[in-house]
Amino acid sequence: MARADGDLGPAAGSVRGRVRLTGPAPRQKALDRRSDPYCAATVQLDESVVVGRDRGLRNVLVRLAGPLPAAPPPPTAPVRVQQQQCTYTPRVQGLQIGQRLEVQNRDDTLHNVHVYRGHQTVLNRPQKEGGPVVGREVPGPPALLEVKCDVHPWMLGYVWVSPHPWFAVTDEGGSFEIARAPAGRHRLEIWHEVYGTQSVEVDIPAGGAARVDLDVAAAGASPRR
Amino acid sequence: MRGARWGLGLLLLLLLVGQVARASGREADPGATDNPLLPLPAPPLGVQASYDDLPFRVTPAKVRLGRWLFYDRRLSADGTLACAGCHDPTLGFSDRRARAVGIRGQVGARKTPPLVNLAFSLYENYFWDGRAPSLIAQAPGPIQNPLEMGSRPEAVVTTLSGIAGYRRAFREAFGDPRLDLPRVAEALSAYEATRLSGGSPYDRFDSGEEGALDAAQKRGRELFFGAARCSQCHVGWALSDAKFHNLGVGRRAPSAEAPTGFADLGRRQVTGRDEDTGAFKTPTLRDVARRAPYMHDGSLATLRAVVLLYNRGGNQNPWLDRKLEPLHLPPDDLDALVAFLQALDGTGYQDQAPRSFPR
Repeated sequence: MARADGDLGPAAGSVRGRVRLTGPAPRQKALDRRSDPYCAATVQLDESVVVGRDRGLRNVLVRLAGPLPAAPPPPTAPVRVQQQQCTYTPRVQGLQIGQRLEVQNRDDTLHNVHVYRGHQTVLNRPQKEGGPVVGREVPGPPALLEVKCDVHPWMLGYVWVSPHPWFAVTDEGGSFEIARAPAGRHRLEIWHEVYGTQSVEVDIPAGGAARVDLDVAAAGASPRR
Repeated sequence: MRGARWGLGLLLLLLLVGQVARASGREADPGATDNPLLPLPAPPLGVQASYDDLPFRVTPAKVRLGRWLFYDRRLSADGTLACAGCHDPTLGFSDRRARAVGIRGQVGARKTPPLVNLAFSLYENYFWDGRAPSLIAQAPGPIQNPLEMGSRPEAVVTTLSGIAGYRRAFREAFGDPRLDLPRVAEALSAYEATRLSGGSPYDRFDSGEEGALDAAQKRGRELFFGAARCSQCHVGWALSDAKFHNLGVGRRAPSAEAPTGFADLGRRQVTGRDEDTGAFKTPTLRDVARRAPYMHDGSLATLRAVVLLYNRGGNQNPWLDRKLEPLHLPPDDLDALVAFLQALDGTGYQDQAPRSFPR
Protein backbone atom coordinates (compact mmCIF):
# COMPACT_ATOMS: atom_id res chain seq x y z
CA MET A 1 0.00 0.00 0.00
CA ALA A 2 1.20 3.50 -0.70
CA ARG A 3 1.84 5.42 2.53
CA ALA A 4 2.74 8.93 3.53
CA ASP A 5 4.19 9.81 6.91
CA GLY A 6 2.84 12.99 8.43
CA ASP A 7 3.75 14.80 11.57
CA LEU A 8 2.99 13.51 15.02
CA GLY A 9 0.55 16.30 15.83
CA PRO A 10 -1.38 16.74 19.05
CA ALA A 11 -3.95 14.30 17.67
CA ALA A 12 -3.11 12.12 14.70
CA GLY A 13 -4.89 9.43 12.81
CA SER A 14 -4.72 7.95 9.34
CA VAL A 15 -6.76 7.73 6.20
CA ARG A 16 -6.72 4.69 3.99
CA GLY A 17 -8.78 3.50 1.11
CA ARG A 18 -9.10 2.59 -2.53
CA VAL A 19 -9.83 4.41 -5.74
CA ARG A 20 -11.68 2.40 -8.38
CA LEU A 21 -12.48 3.08 -11.98
CA THR A 22 -16.07 2.43 -12.92
CA GLY A 23 -16.98 1.90 -16.55
CA PRO A 24 -14.80 0.50 -19.31
CA ALA A 25 -11.11 1.08 -18.88
CA PRO A 26 -9.36 2.35 -22.01
CA ARG A 27 -7.05 -0.15 -23.64
CA GLN A 28 -3.39 0.56 -22.98
CA LYS A 29 -1.70 1.08 -26.33
CA ALA A 30 1.97 0.44 -26.98
CA LEU A 31 3.93 3.65 -27.31
CA ASP A 32 5.69 4.42 -30.58
CA ARG A 33 9.33 4.63 -29.51
CA ARG A 34 10.97 4.11 -32.85
CA SER A 35 12.82 7.42 -32.81
CA ASP A 36 15.36 5.83 -30.45
CA PRO A 37 16.44 2.24 -31.14
CA TYR A 38 17.46 1.78 -27.51
CA CYS A 39 13.94 2.58 -26.33
CA ALA A 40 12.29 0.71 -29.21
CA ALA A 41 14.01 -2.50 -28.10
CA THR A 42 11.46 -2.86 -25.31
CA VAL A 43 7.72 -2.45 -25.49
CA GLN A 44 6.16 0.09 -23.17
CA LEU A 45 2.44 0.65 -22.82
CA ASP A 46 0.80 4.02 -22.37
CA GLU A 47 0.37 4.34 -18.61
CA SER A 48 -1.90 7.35 -18.47
CA VAL A 49 -4.65 5.00 -17.23
CA VAL A 50 -3.60 1.85 -15.40
CA VAL A 51 -6.30 -0.30 -13.87
CA GLY A 52 -5.35 -3.21 -11.60
CA ARG A 53 -7.25 -6.07 -10.00
CA ASP A 54 -10.78 -5.30 -8.97
CA ARG A 55 -10.76 -2.07 -10.98
CA GLY A 56 -8.17 -0.40 -8.75
CA LEU A 57 -6.94 2.82 -10.38
CA ARG A 58 -3.21 3.33 -10.09
CA ASN A 59 -1.26 6.60 -9.86
CA VAL A 60 -4.03 8.63 -8.30
CA LEU A 61 -2.69 11.43 -6.13
CA VAL A 62 -4.57 11.60 -2.82
CA ARG A 63 -4.10 14.62 -0.57
CA LEU A 64 -5.58 16.52 2.32
CA ALA A 65 -6.74 19.99 1.40
CA GLY A 66 -8.18 23.04 3.07
CA PRO A 67 -7.20 24.57 6.40
CA LEU A 68 -4.73 22.26 8.14
CA PRO A 69 -2.38 22.49 11.13
CA ALA A 70 1.12 23.75 10.49
CA ALA A 71 3.18 21.26 8.54
CA PRO A 72 6.51 19.89 9.78
CA PRO A 73 9.62 20.89 7.82
CA PRO A 74 10.23 18.96 4.60
CA PRO A 75 12.16 15.68 4.80
CA THR A 76 15.90 15.86 4.15
CA ALA A 77 15.77 12.76 1.97
CA PRO A 78 15.25 13.59 -1.69
CA VAL A 79 12.45 12.36 -3.91
CA ARG A 80 13.79 10.65 -6.97
CA VAL A 81 12.56 10.17 -10.53
CA GLN A 82 14.23 7.44 -12.56
CA GLN A 83 14.71 7.41 -16.30
CA GLN A 84 14.47 3.69 -16.89
CA GLN A 85 13.50 1.85 -20.06
CA CYS A 86 12.79 5.32 -21.45
CA THR A 87 10.02 5.81 -18.88
CA TYR A 88 9.72 8.10 -15.89
CA THR A 89 9.36 6.03 -12.72
CA PRO A 90 7.42 6.55 -10.54
CA ARG A 91 4.96 8.18 -12.89
CA VAL A 92 3.24 10.14 -10.14
CA GLN A 93 4.66 11.15 -6.75
CA GLY A 94 4.73 14.03 -4.36
CA LEU A 95 7.21 16.01 -2.37
CA GLN A 96 6.97 18.75 0.21
CA ILE A 97 7.89 22.36 -0.58
CA GLY A 98 11.65 22.75 -0.07
CA GLN A 99 12.36 19.05 -0.51
CA ARG A 100 14.97 18.00 -3.03
CA LEU A 101 13.93 16.44 -6.34
CA GLU A 102 16.50 14.24 -8.02
CA VAL A 103 16.57 12.66 -11.46
CA GLN A 104 18.70 9.73 -12.47
CA ASN A 105 19.47 8.23 -15.87
CA ARG A 106 19.66 4.47 -15.70
CA ASP A 107 19.36 4.00 -19.43
CA ASP A 108 22.01 3.58 -22.09
CA THR A 109 20.80 6.56 -24.03
CA LEU A 110 20.76 10.34 -23.69
CA HIS A 111 17.81 11.82 -21.81
CA ASN A 112 17.03 15.44 -21.10
CA VAL A 113 14.72 15.86 -18.16
CA HIS A 114 12.63 19.00 -18.40
CA VAL A 115 10.45 19.71 -15.38
CA TYR A 116 7.78 22.36 -15.86
CA ARG A 117 5.69 24.36 -13.45
CA GLY A 118 3.11 25.61 -15.92
CA HIS A 119 5.33 26.92 -18.68
CA GLN A 120 8.18 27.84 -16.41
CA THR A 121 11.21 25.56 -16.30
CA VAL A 122 12.08 24.08 -12.93
CA LEU A 123 14.81 21.77 -14.18
CA ASN A 124 16.29 21.27 -17.64
CA ARG A 125 19.28 18.95 -17.76
CA PRO A 126 20.75 16.62 -20.34
CA GLN A 127 22.03 13.36 -18.87
CA LYS A 128 24.28 11.05 -20.78
CA GLU A 129 24.26 7.33 -20.22
CA GLY A 130 25.82 6.71 -16.81
CA GLY A 131 25.86 10.41 -16.02
CA PRO A 132 25.50 11.87 -12.52
CA VAL A 133 22.20 12.39 -10.72
CA VAL A 134 20.88 15.93 -11.10
CA GLY A 135 18.45 17.74 -8.87
CA ARG A 136 17.43 20.77 -6.88
CA GLU A 137 15.30 21.86 -3.97
CA VAL A 138 11.80 22.62 -5.17
CA PRO A 139 10.29 25.86 -3.95
CA GLY A 140 6.59 26.66 -3.52
CA PRO A 141 3.92 27.63 -4.14
CA PRO A 142 2.05 24.30 -4.36
CA ALA A 143 1.85 23.06 -7.92
CA LEU A 144 1.69 19.98 -10.05
CA LEU A 145 4.95 19.72 -11.94
CA GLU A 146 5.13 17.99 -15.30
CA VAL A 147 8.19 15.89 -15.94
CA LYS A 148 9.04 15.51 -19.61
CA CYS A 149 12.02 14.36 -21.63
CA ASP A 150 13.07 16.72 -24.41
CA VAL A 151 14.56 13.82 -26.37
CA HIS A 152 11.73 11.31 -25.99
CA PRO A 153 8.31 12.91 -26.31
CA TRP A 154 6.28 9.98 -24.93
CA MET A 155 7.99 10.16 -21.53
CA LEU A 156 5.81 11.79 -18.91
CA GLY A 157 5.72 12.04 -15.14
CA TYR A 158 4.17 14.20 -12.45
CA VAL A 159 5.41 15.57 -9.17
CA TRP A 160 2.99 17.21 -6.77
CA VAL A 161 4.63 19.99 -4.74
CA SER A 162 2.76 19.89 -1.48
CA PRO A 163 2.65 22.39 1.38
CA HIS A 164 2.48 19.48 3.83
CA PRO A 165 3.31 15.75 4.04
CA TRP A 166 -0.27 14.45 4.08
CA PHE A 167 -0.54 12.95 0.62
CA ALA A 168 -0.10 9.56 -1.04
CA VAL A 169 -0.29 7.91 -4.46
CA THR A 170 -2.42 4.84 -5.14
CA ASP A 171 -0.60 1.59 -5.94
CA GLU A 172 -1.36 -1.14 -8.47
CA GLY A 173 -4.48 -2.10 -6.54
CA GLY A 174 -5.71 1.46 -6.28
CA SER A 175 -4.92 1.54 -2.54
CA PHE A 176 -3.44 4.37 -0.52
CA GLU A 177 -2.69 5.28 3.08
CA ILE A 178 -1.90 8.63 4.63
CA ALA A 179 -0.52 7.95 8.12
CA ARG A 180 -0.04 10.37 11.04
CA ALA A 181 -2.46 12.87 9.58
CA PRO A 182 -4.10 15.55 11.72
CA ALA A 183 -7.30 14.33 13.33
CA GLY A 184 -10.54 16.13 12.58
CA ARG A 185 -12.76 16.83 9.64
CA HIS A 186 -10.83 17.63 6.46
CA ARG A 187 -11.27 17.73 2.73
CA LEU A 188 -9.66 14.85 0.86
CA GLU A 189 -8.82 15.51 -2.80
CA ILE A 190 -7.90 12.99 -5.42
CA TRP A 191 -6.33 13.82 -8.78
CA HIS A 192 -5.76 11.65 -11.82
CA GLU A 193 -4.01 12.84 -14.97
CA VAL A 194 -6.94 11.86 -17.19
CA TYR A 195 -9.94 11.92 -14.87
CA GLY A 196 -9.13 15.12 -13.02
CA THR A 197 -10.01 16.08 -9.48
CA GLN A 198 -12.67 14.99 -7.01
CA SER A 199 -13.00 15.73 -3.35
CA VAL A 200 -14.85 14.38 -0.33
CA GLU A 201 -15.05 15.18 3.35
CA VAL A 202 -13.26 12.86 5.71
CA ASP A 203 -13.35 12.56 9.49
CA ILE A 204 -9.98 11.43 10.80
CA PRO A 205 -10.29 10.00 14.31
CA ALA A 206 -7.47 10.69 16.77
CA GLY A 207 -5.53 7.46 17.20
CA GLY A 208 -7.69 5.73 14.58
CA ALA A 209 -8.09 5.22 10.83
CA ALA A 210 -10.66 6.65 8.48
CA ARG A 211 -11.68 4.63 5.45
CA VAL A 212 -12.41 6.39 2.14
CA ASP A 213 -13.28 4.55 -1.03
CA LEU A 214 -13.83 6.56 -4.18
CA ASP A 215 -15.15 5.74 -7.58
CA VAL A 216 -13.90 7.52 -10.66
CA ALA A 217 -16.12 7.33 -13.70
CA ALA A 218 -14.43 6.31 -16.93
CA ALA A 219 -17.40 7.16 -19.09
CA GLY A 220 -17.29 10.56 -20.73
CA ALA A 221 -13.57 11.04 -20.25
CA SER A 222 -11.20 10.51 -23.17
CA PRO A 223 -7.66 9.54 -22.29
CA ARG A 224 -5.02 12.07 -23.22
CA ARG A 225 -3.04 11.24 -26.39
CA MET B 1 91.08 64.31 -17.29
CA ARG B 2 88.07 66.38 -18.34
CA GLY B 3 87.62 64.30 -21.52
CA ALA B 4 87.52 61.13 -19.45
CA ARG B 5 84.90 62.63 -17.10
CA TRP B 6 82.80 63.64 -20.11
CA GLY B 7 83.17 60.14 -21.48
CA LEU B 8 82.15 58.64 -18.16
CA GLY B 9 79.17 60.98 -17.88
CA LEU B 10 78.06 60.11 -21.38
CA LEU B 11 78.41 56.43 -20.63
CA LEU B 12 76.36 56.77 -17.48
CA LEU B 13 73.76 58.79 -19.35
CA LEU B 14 73.50 56.13 -22.04
CA LEU B 15 73.18 53.40 -19.44
CA LEU B 16 70.46 55.36 -17.69
CA VAL B 17 68.56 55.93 -20.92
CA GLY B 18 68.98 52.26 -21.74
CA GLN B 19 67.52 51.25 -18.36
CA VAL B 20 64.56 53.57 -18.79
CA ALA B 21 63.96 52.24 -22.28
CA ARG B 22 64.02 48.64 -21.10
CA ALA B 23 61.79 49.43 -18.14
CA SER B 24 59.16 51.12 -20.28
CA GLY B 25 59.36 48.17 -22.69
CA ARG B 26 58.25 45.90 -19.84
CA GLU B 27 55.65 48.11 -18.20
CA ALA B 28 54.19 49.60 -21.38
CA ASP B 29 53.37 46.12 -22.70
CA PRO B 30 51.08 47.00 -25.61
CA GLY B 31 48.24 44.72 -24.47
CA ALA B 32 48.20 45.74 -20.85
CA THR B 33 45.44 48.26 -21.28
CA ASP B 34 43.06 46.56 -23.71
CA ASN B 35 43.73 42.93 -22.87
CA PRO B 36 43.97 42.94 -19.09
CA LEU B 37 43.83 39.94 -16.80
CA LEU B 38 40.18 39.50 -15.93
CA PRO B 39 38.36 37.09 -13.62
CA LEU B 40 36.62 34.30 -15.51
CA PRO B 41 33.17 35.50 -16.59
CA ALA B 42 30.23 34.03 -14.72
CA PRO B 43 27.83 32.00 -16.87
CA PRO B 44 24.91 34.16 -18.05
CA LEU B 45 21.27 33.39 -17.29
CA GLY B 46 20.18 30.01 -18.58
CA VAL B 47 23.70 28.61 -18.91
CA GLN B 48 24.64 25.98 -16.36
CA ALA B 49 28.32 25.76 -17.19
CA SER B 50 31.10 25.26 -14.68
CA TYR B 51 34.74 25.69 -15.68
CA ASP B 52 35.53 22.83 -13.30
CA ASP B 53 33.75 20.44 -15.62
CA LEU B 54 36.32 20.98 -18.36
CA PRO B 55 39.17 18.53 -18.92
CA PHE B 56 41.72 21.36 -18.82
CA ARG B 57 42.24 24.19 -16.32
CA VAL B 58 40.91 27.56 -17.37
CA THR B 59 42.81 30.46 -15.76
CA PRO B 60 42.67 34.23 -16.34
CA ALA B 61 46.23 34.18 -17.68
CA LYS B 62 45.45 31.48 -20.23
CA VAL B 63 42.28 33.29 -21.26
CA ARG B 64 44.17 36.53 -21.75
CA LEU B 65 46.82 34.79 -23.85
CA GLY B 66 44.16 32.92 -25.79
CA ARG B 67 42.36 36.15 -26.55
CA TRP B 68 45.47 37.61 -28.16
CA LEU B 69 46.07 34.44 -30.13
CA PHE B 70 42.45 34.24 -31.27
CA TYR B 71 42.58 37.67 -32.92
CA ASP B 72 46.20 37.57 -34.08
CA ARG B 73 46.63 37.31 -37.83
CA ARG B 74 50.24 36.30 -37.44
CA LEU B 75 49.16 32.73 -36.71
CA SER B 76 48.30 32.26 -40.38
CA ALA B 77 50.87 31.42 -43.07
CA ASP B 78 50.69 34.82 -44.73
CA GLY B 79 49.81 36.88 -41.69
CA THR B 80 46.38 37.88 -43.00
CA LEU B 81 43.91 35.67 -41.17
CA ALA B 82 43.13 35.13 -37.49
CA CYS B 83 40.67 32.67 -35.98
CA ALA B 84 38.34 35.63 -35.61
CA GLY B 85 38.43 36.14 -39.36
CA CYS B 86 35.88 33.33 -39.68
CA HIS B 87 34.67 33.09 -36.09
CA ASP B 88 33.14 36.56 -35.77
CA PRO B 89 32.81 37.56 -32.11
CA THR B 90 29.49 39.31 -32.67
CA LEU B 91 27.84 36.51 -34.66
CA GLY B 92 28.01 33.68 -32.14
CA PHE B 93 31.60 33.22 -33.35
CA SER B 94 30.39 32.00 -36.71
CA ASP B 95 29.87 34.14 -39.80
CA ARG B 96 27.50 34.87 -42.66
CA ARG B 97 29.19 32.96 -45.44
CA ALA B 98 27.93 29.61 -46.71
CA ARG B 99 31.45 28.21 -46.57
CA ALA B 100 34.52 29.35 -44.75
CA VAL B 101 37.01 31.44 -46.72
CA GLY B 102 40.66 31.01 -45.81
CA ILE B 103 43.90 32.70 -46.81
CA ARG B 104 44.26 33.72 -50.44
CA GLY B 105 40.50 33.64 -50.85
CA GLN B 106 40.28 29.86 -50.84
CA VAL B 107 36.75 28.56 -50.21
CA GLY B 108 36.41 25.61 -47.86
CA ALA B 109 33.96 22.73 -47.87
CA ARG B 110 31.86 23.64 -44.87
CA LYS B 111 30.33 26.54 -42.98
CA THR B 112 32.19 27.98 -39.99
CA PRO B 113 30.61 26.43 -36.88
CA PRO B 114 29.67 28.71 -33.97
CA LEU B 115 31.89 28.61 -30.90
CA VAL B 116 29.51 29.87 -28.21
CA ASN B 117 29.10 27.46 -25.29
CA LEU B 118 31.24 25.07 -27.29
CA ALA B 119 33.62 24.03 -24.55
CA PHE B 120 30.75 22.34 -22.74
CA SER B 121 29.84 19.88 -25.45
CA LEU B 122 27.75 16.97 -24.17
CA TYR B 123 29.79 14.41 -26.07
CA GLU B 124 33.36 15.44 -26.63
CA ASN B 125 33.81 15.78 -30.34
CA TYR B 126 34.49 18.85 -32.45
CA PHE B 127 34.07 19.89 -36.09
CA TRP B 128 30.99 19.04 -38.16
CA ASP B 129 32.20 15.44 -38.36
CA GLY B 130 33.46 15.20 -34.80
CA ARG B 131 36.98 14.22 -35.78
CA ALA B 132 38.60 16.21 -32.95
CA PRO B 133 38.11 14.39 -29.61
CA SER B 134 38.58 17.53 -27.52
CA LEU B 135 38.50 21.29 -27.78
CA ILE B 136 42.27 21.41 -27.50
CA ALA B 137 42.57 18.94 -30.40
CA GLN B 138 40.32 21.17 -32.49
CA ALA B 139 42.31 24.42 -32.41
CA PRO B 140 45.35 23.29 -34.44
CA GLY B 141 43.02 22.11 -37.23
CA PRO B 142 42.17 25.46 -38.83
CA ILE B 143 45.65 26.78 -38.13
CA GLN B 144 47.17 24.02 -40.26
CA ASN B 145 44.42 23.52 -42.82
CA PRO B 146 45.83 24.71 -46.16
CA LEU B 147 42.40 26.08 -47.11
CA GLU B 148 42.08 28.01 -43.85
CA MET B 149 45.08 29.56 -42.07
CA GLY B 150 47.55 27.42 -43.99
CA SER B 151 50.37 27.36 -41.46
CA ARG B 152 52.49 24.60 -39.88
CA PRO B 153 53.24 23.88 -36.21
CA GLU B 154 56.91 24.84 -36.59
CA ALA B 155 56.00 28.13 -38.27
CA VAL B 156 53.53 29.05 -35.54
CA VAL B 157 55.99 28.24 -32.80
CA THR B 158 58.81 30.12 -34.52
CA THR B 159 56.65 33.18 -35.07
CA LEU B 160 55.39 33.32 -31.50
CA SER B 161 58.74 32.50 -29.92
CA GLY B 162 60.26 35.44 -31.73
CA ILE B 163 57.88 37.85 -30.02
CA ALA B 164 59.02 38.84 -26.55
CA GLY B 165 55.52 39.77 -25.47
CA TYR B 166 54.26 36.29 -26.33
CA ARG B 167 57.17 34.60 -24.59
CA ARG B 168 56.20 36.51 -21.46
CA ALA B 169 52.53 35.72 -21.84
CA PHE B 170 53.17 31.98 -22.25
CA ARG B 171 55.41 31.99 -19.19
CA GLU B 172 52.72 33.79 -17.26
CA ALA B 173 50.01 31.39 -18.38
CA PHE B 174 51.87 28.11 -18.04
CA GLY B 175 54.55 28.81 -15.46
CA ASP B 176 57.50 27.88 -17.67
CA PRO B 177 58.93 29.08 -21.00
CA ARG B 178 57.85 26.12 -23.15
CA LEU B 179 55.96 27.38 -26.21
CA ASP B 180 54.44 24.77 -28.52
CA LEU B 181 51.28 24.16 -30.53
CA PRO B 182 49.45 22.21 -27.80
CA ARG B 183 49.89 25.19 -25.50
CA VAL B 184 48.70 27.54 -28.19
CA ALA B 185 45.66 25.29 -28.51
CA GLU B 186 45.07 25.21 -24.78
CA ALA B 187 45.20 29.00 -24.47
CA LEU B 188 42.80 29.35 -27.40
CA SER B 189 40.50 26.78 -25.76
CA ALA B 190 40.59 28.67 -22.47
CA TYR B 191 39.43 31.82 -24.24
CA GLU B 192 36.75 29.89 -26.13
CA ALA B 193 35.51 28.36 -22.88
CA THR B 194 34.64 31.83 -21.62
CA ARG B 195 32.47 32.61 -24.65
CA LEU B 196 29.13 31.77 -23.07
CA SER B 197 25.87 32.87 -24.66
CA GLY B 198 22.81 33.16 -22.47
CA GLY B 199 20.38 35.72 -21.11
CA SER B 200 18.32 35.48 -24.29
CA PRO B 201 14.59 36.22 -24.29
CA TYR B 202 14.13 32.43 -24.14
CA ASP B 203 16.28 32.17 -21.03
CA ARG B 204 14.46 35.03 -19.40
CA PHE B 205 11.07 33.52 -20.14
CA ASP B 206 12.22 30.20 -18.79
CA SER B 207 13.22 31.80 -15.56
CA GLY B 208 9.78 33.29 -15.05
CA GLU B 209 9.76 36.57 -17.00
CA GLU B 210 6.39 36.23 -18.72
CA GLY B 211 6.81 39.17 -21.05
CA ALA B 212 10.16 38.07 -22.43
CA LEU B 213 8.53 36.22 -25.34
CA ASP B 214 5.69 37.52 -27.48
CA ALA B 215 2.69 35.39 -28.43
CA ALA B 216 4.25 33.97 -31.61
CA GLN B 217 7.48 33.14 -29.80
CA LYS B 218 5.58 31.40 -27.01
CA ARG B 219 3.78 29.30 -29.58
CA GLY B 220 7.10 28.61 -31.28
CA ARG B 221 8.56 27.48 -27.98
CA GLU B 222 5.68 25.06 -27.41
CA LEU B 223 6.25 23.62 -30.87
CA PHE B 224 10.02 23.48 -30.41
CA PHE B 225 9.66 21.26 -27.34
CA GLY B 226 6.56 19.51 -28.68
CA ALA B 227 5.08 18.82 -32.07
CA ALA B 228 7.99 20.19 -34.10
CA ARG B 229 10.38 17.85 -32.21
CA CYS B 230 13.33 20.25 -32.38
CA SER B 231 14.33 19.53 -28.80
CA GLN B 232 14.95 15.89 -29.65
CA CYS B 233 18.35 16.93 -30.93
CA HIS B 234 18.60 20.58 -29.93
CA VAL B 235 18.56 19.74 -26.25
CA GLY B 236 19.71 21.19 -22.93
CA TRP B 237 21.02 24.67 -22.27
CA ALA B 238 23.40 24.47 -25.22
CA LEU B 239 20.51 23.39 -27.48
CA SER B 240 22.58 20.58 -28.95
CA ASP B 241 23.00 16.88 -28.20
CA ALA B 242 26.45 16.98 -29.84
CA LYS B 243 25.51 13.85 -31.78
CA PHE B 244 25.45 13.23 -35.53
CA HIS B 245 22.30 13.22 -37.62
CA ASN B 246 21.58 12.83 -41.32
CA LEU B 247 18.97 15.30 -42.53
CA GLY B 248 19.60 14.61 -46.19
CA VAL B 249 21.25 18.01 -46.60
CA GLY B 250 23.87 18.19 -49.33
CA ARG B 251 22.75 15.05 -51.09
CA ARG B 252 22.73 14.90 -54.86
CA ALA B 253 22.06 12.10 -57.28
CA PRO B 254 24.53 9.26 -56.72
CA SER B 255 27.52 9.41 -59.04
CA ALA B 256 30.78 7.61 -59.62
CA GLU B 257 32.67 10.01 -57.35
CA ALA B 258 29.96 10.01 -54.71
CA PRO B 259 28.06 6.73 -54.86
CA THR B 260 26.05 7.62 -51.77
CA GLY B 261 25.05 10.95 -53.27
CA PHE B 262 26.92 12.70 -50.45
CA ALA B 263 30.09 14.39 -51.72
CA ASP B 264 30.70 15.27 -48.07
CA LEU B 265 30.30 12.04 -46.11
CA GLY B 266 30.28 13.82 -42.76
CA ARG B 267 30.68 11.56 -39.74
CA ARG B 268 31.29 8.53 -41.92
CA GLN B 269 34.59 10.08 -42.96
CA VAL B 270 35.74 9.67 -39.38
CA THR B 271 34.17 6.40 -38.28
CA GLY B 272 33.92 4.58 -41.60
CA ARG B 273 30.49 3.31 -40.55
CA ASP B 274 27.80 3.11 -43.17
CA GLU B 275 25.10 4.35 -40.80
CA ASP B 276 27.07 7.59 -40.30
CA THR B 277 26.79 8.53 -43.97
CA GLY B 278 25.84 12.15 -44.46
CA ALA B 279 25.47 12.70 -40.71
CA PHE B 280 26.69 15.95 -39.20
CA LYS B 281 26.95 17.23 -35.66
CA THR B 282 24.01 19.07 -34.16
CA PRO B 283 25.10 22.69 -33.74
CA THR B 284 23.90 24.93 -30.96
CA LEU B 285 20.93 27.11 -31.82
CA ARG B 286 22.02 29.98 -29.63
CA ASP B 287 22.43 33.15 -31.68
CA VAL B 288 21.22 31.24 -34.72
CA ALA B 289 19.37 34.23 -36.15
CA ARG B 290 22.66 36.13 -36.33
CA ARG B 291 24.53 33.64 -38.48
CA ALA B 292 22.64 32.65 -41.61
CA PRO B 293 23.06 30.65 -43.83
CA TYR B 294 22.60 27.24 -42.24
CA MET B 295 23.68 23.61 -42.29
CA HIS B 296 27.17 22.19 -42.72
CA ASP B 297 27.33 23.46 -46.30
CA GLY B 298 25.51 26.73 -45.73
CA SER B 299 22.91 25.63 -48.25
CA LEU B 300 19.84 26.92 -46.40
CA ALA B 301 19.69 30.69 -46.62
CA THR B 302 17.09 31.46 -43.97
CA LEU B 303 15.56 30.09 -40.80
CA ARG B 304 12.31 29.65 -42.70
CA ALA B 305 14.09 27.40 -45.20
CA VAL B 306 15.39 25.33 -42.29
CA VAL B 307 11.98 24.98 -40.73
CA LEU B 308 10.50 24.01 -44.11
CA LEU B 309 13.13 21.29 -44.44
CA TYR B 310 12.10 19.77 -41.14
CA ASN B 311 8.42 20.21 -41.90
CA ARG B 312 8.78 17.92 -44.87
CA GLY B 313 10.78 15.45 -42.81
CA GLY B 314 14.24 16.24 -44.14
CA ASN B 315 15.44 15.05 -47.55
CA GLN B 316 14.65 11.38 -48.07
CA ASN B 317 17.70 9.16 -48.34
CA PRO B 318 18.68 5.71 -47.08
CA TRP B 319 20.48 7.11 -44.05
CA LEU B 320 17.90 9.66 -42.97
CA ASP B 321 17.81 10.01 -39.18
CA ARG B 322 14.86 8.11 -37.78
CA LYS B 323 13.80 11.06 -35.66
CA LEU B 324 12.76 12.92 -38.81
CA GLU B 325 9.23 12.66 -40.11
CA PRO B 326 7.02 15.10 -41.96
CA LEU B 327 5.43 17.39 -39.40
CA HIS B 328 2.58 18.85 -41.48
CA LEU B 329 2.67 22.10 -39.54
CA PRO B 330 0.64 24.98 -40.99
CA PRO B 331 2.35 28.24 -42.08
CA ASP B 332 1.43 30.08 -38.86
CA ASP B 333 3.25 27.45 -36.84
CA LEU B 334 6.28 27.68 -39.09
CA ASP B 335 6.33 31.44 -38.55
CA ALA B 336 6.04 30.86 -34.82
CA LEU B 337 9.03 28.54 -34.87
CA VAL B 338 11.11 31.12 -36.71
CA ALA B 339 10.01 33.75 -34.20
CA PHE B 340 11.14 31.51 -31.35
CA LEU B 341 14.51 30.87 -33.00
CA GLN B 342 14.96 34.62 -33.12
CA ALA B 343 14.52 34.68 -29.35
CA LEU B 344 17.76 32.77 -28.84
CA ASP B 345 20.12 35.70 -29.33
CA GLY B 346 22.25 35.84 -26.21
CA THR B 347 24.62 38.14 -24.41
CA GLY B 348 27.80 37.63 -22.45
CA TYR B 349 30.11 36.39 -25.17
CA GLN B 350 30.49 39.28 -27.55
CA ASP B 351 33.97 40.65 -27.90
CA GLN B 352 36.20 42.61 -30.24
CA ALA B 353 39.80 42.27 -31.24
CA PRO B 354 42.34 43.80 -28.87
CA ARG B 355 43.73 46.99 -30.38
CA SER B 356 47.31 45.87 -30.03
CA PHE B 357 49.18 42.64 -29.78
CA PRO B 358 52.36 41.41 -28.10
CA ARG B 359 55.56 42.71 -29.66
